[in-house]
Amino acid sequence: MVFSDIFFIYFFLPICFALYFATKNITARNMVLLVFSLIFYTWCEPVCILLLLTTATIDFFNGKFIHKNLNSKKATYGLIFSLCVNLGLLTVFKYSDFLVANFNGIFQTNIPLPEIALPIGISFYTFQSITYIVDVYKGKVPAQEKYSNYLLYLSMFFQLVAGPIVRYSTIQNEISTRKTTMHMFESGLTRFIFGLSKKVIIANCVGDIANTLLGGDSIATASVFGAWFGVIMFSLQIYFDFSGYSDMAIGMGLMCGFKFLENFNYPYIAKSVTDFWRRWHISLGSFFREYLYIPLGGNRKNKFANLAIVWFATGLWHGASWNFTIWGLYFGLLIIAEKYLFKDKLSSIPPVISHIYLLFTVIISWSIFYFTDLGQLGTCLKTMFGFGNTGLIDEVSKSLLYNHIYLIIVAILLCTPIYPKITQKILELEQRKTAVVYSYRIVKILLLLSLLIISSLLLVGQTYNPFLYYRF
Amino acid sequence: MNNQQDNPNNYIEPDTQENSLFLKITIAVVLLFVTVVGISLLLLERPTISESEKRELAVFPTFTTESYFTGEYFLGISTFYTDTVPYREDILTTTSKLNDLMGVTYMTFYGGTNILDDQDFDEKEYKVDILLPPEDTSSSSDSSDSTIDPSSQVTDTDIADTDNDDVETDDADVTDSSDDTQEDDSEEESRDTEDTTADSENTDEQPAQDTTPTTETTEPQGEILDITMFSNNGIVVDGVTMYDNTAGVMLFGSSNSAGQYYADVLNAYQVQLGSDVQIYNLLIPTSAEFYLPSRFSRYSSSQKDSIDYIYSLLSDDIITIDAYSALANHTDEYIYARTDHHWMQLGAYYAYTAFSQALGQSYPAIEEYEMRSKENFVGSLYTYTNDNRLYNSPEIFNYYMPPNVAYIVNSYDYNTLQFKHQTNLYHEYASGGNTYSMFLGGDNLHLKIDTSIKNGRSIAVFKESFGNAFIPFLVNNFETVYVIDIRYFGPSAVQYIKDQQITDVLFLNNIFAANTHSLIRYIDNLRY
Repeated sequence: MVFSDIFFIYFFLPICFALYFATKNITARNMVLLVFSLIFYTWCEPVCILLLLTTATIDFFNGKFIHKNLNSKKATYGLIFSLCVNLGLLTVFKYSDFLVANFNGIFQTNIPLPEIALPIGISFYTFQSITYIVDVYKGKVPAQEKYSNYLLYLSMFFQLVAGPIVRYSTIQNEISTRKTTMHMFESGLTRFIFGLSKKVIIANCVGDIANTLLGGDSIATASVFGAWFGVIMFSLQIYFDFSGYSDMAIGMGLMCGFKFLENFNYPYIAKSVTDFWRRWHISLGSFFREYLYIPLGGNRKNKFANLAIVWFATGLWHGASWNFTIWGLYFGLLIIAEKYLFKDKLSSIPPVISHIYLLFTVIISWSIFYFTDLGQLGTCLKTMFGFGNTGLIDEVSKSLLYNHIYLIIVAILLCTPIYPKITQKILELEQRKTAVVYSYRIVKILLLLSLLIISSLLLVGQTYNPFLYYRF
Repeated sequence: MNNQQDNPNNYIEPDTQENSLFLKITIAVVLLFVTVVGISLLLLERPTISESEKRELAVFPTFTTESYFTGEYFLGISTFYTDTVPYREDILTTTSKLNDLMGVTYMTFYGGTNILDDQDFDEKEYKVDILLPPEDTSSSSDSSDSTIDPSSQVTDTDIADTDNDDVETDDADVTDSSDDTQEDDSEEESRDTEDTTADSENTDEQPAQDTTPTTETTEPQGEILDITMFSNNGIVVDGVTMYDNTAGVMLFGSSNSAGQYYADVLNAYQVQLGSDVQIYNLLIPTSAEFYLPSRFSRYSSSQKDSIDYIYSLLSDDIITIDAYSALANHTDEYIYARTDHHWMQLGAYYAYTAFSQALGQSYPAIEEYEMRSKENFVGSLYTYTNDNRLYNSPEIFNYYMPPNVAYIVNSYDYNTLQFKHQTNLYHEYASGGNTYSMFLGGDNLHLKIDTSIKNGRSIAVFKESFGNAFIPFLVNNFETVYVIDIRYFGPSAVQYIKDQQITDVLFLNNIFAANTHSLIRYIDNLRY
């Protein structure tokens, strides 16, 4: 089940929330959420739910064990055991094919591929569990006393399958004491509908364009404009897809009284790669910073090696394929360059130039990200930089541009914080009870309703509807 | 997480009394909507088939241990829920309008845009052996059914079908660059029914005959074969105008190997028929050649080059007819259909003038023909694309009645060659999308036309549907005209030509047919 699904929006979610708000005490509410989360995950992974339960069980008891033996050798063993289990399961279920294929390639062996299907969400919940164990070990948080609460933290369907990676410390209090205010519910609802629209109206549509231009063998015949246009459409798709999903997760959390941290902060308005990564997939970047980079020694010792490891891992986390690793290391190199080569120069040049620099490097990075086939990636880059011989522009890309021009303009505008800025300006007038504020309120109701209707209609018409981040 | 504060999404509204009313209204409106829709989805009747997509919708999955463990059971429920949403057809219409709002109309491709340089095919299979008949038809003498069984023809030839894996059911503006078409079986079926209707009308009008009507009404008409096979390259709609009106154009992909095969087959006929029979070849260019705006030219091969290529491979004893120039000189006249992949009869007339000149015969001026018209013709390009712009610009379909000549048309069973009934060249009751089938009454017929021109010349015409509009003109030039549709002829055509002492043979094919292996194979097989 995905969030952008008629069945989810008009059946699963309403029933879940109806039962949730029909119950009054927190234990019953948590039980409703837990049961629905387990149903949700069983829906996606009828078998691999056992894997999730295993992880939750081991880490729950191990967390208690570590907490009891805090600051002793036993705690360290407990930590190492949990890390081995979590990373071990992740390696087996995500990377075994990749490892075997590379082993075969290097040693000329012929070991058959295990062909294990990647369980949905494993990359996310494994990392969530690691934040818990590590934070308990460090004494930052106490161990969770109730198994059902820990299982709920790990399996909560809001963020289970595609993030954000919610740290245990973020919700440790909310899991046992929380309440939903009218404001929270309203902003949660708004967030959910906006997220849904980002996914269904924008991401799916620009994704179709990107696939037409880049998918299959199309890149072999793409013109210079076609290749750039395709990669830019993919850049829009991945942002609206992923941030739309995060919006829906954050929105649903908010409706139930959870305040998850933001996962995106308008990454495409960044002015350097360093800045970009503070705004893109924040929960992942901060995870690697605090649970890998700093424990490795941060910038105090072996800083280049540490950065290389972190960005190698970031790349590999996105998928078991070399192009993701290259993608990660590409960003690692740029960040090292910005930190030690350009230093302050980036902030002293005109913002327009640094913004162009950022967009250029990020768009190139998405071409690396798109093509798991390195040969196709080479063709794409060659075409983009004019070393192909397929012409400057072609009618297919031109027609795609014209046929979707309004949508593309809206999408680009929405990459900037234009909507919250306008909202904020209007609401600051609120104390004066101006007509502007009242019309804003009415327009917002109509906007939410139309977006919900349009998204639902498009969902009925769209057979193509998978979330991109399901891959990870 | 120092950036959390400056994330504008985190802006929390001031908690005041007057906005809480609005918040309540907002929540109430949305929740009410979701509840109403949610309940309607449960209570309203769900459709089981999609008219527009011509398919059965998903059914509720049955629970099995296997479907549970593979996850198919749950996926099936979600799919069922979305696929059978009440009022689905209306919703799809609305979404297609929504999609139109996303940008400005520029032009639209249907199907793929890859130029087919060569279709996948087995060289050996298509090798023309003049001396020995192909193995599978070696017993050609015993029964005609074994050579050409209409039902096997259809499956045999559907090249399009075999590599039609990624069929698109909806009219996505541009599909993946697959070579082939959006045509799917169900669409064929629907056309099938249409054509059957036309056939039964036919039977109504002439009740005299037809001892074997069942085969004729159940087998697909040539129209279907045409459209699946010719649309190997997609269709461009909009941005294309013909005669100052919206048009669709079917892109052309040439295949040199097919062209070679076509020429080989015709040369083989020349050898088999010998010097007693004069063979002509007339290749018909299609509208893409003259009306495709130059900015699309990279998606369509040159038909001129393809015609020249094939003509250059033909034996010197075969007379080639330059219909291309004749048509090219009249492109501002209404010589091709805008909404159909065929030409108009006026185009066929200009090709006929070129043929008459090659025969060294005079021909009536177009003014001497009585022109009649049918309105509201919206042809195959609309059926194929469902593009509203084509639907909204119906055509006037003009046809021309031959002057100063009397003729009798007899229809024969194309397998047994038994006389069926007397018929007409024009079946004027044909209307709407089927208007083009007014010529000869369709494809799956073997006709013999006896005229009052007593010049001792007789001609056999090997044609597909493009030829139908051309045939009527020949009554001014030949004493007898034999019409052989390359897809619908049972016995050996070579033997037939010899038996009937036919003096002239015309291979009259559109350029798509002459570049399509499966169609050429029909002509090849007719030699035995």
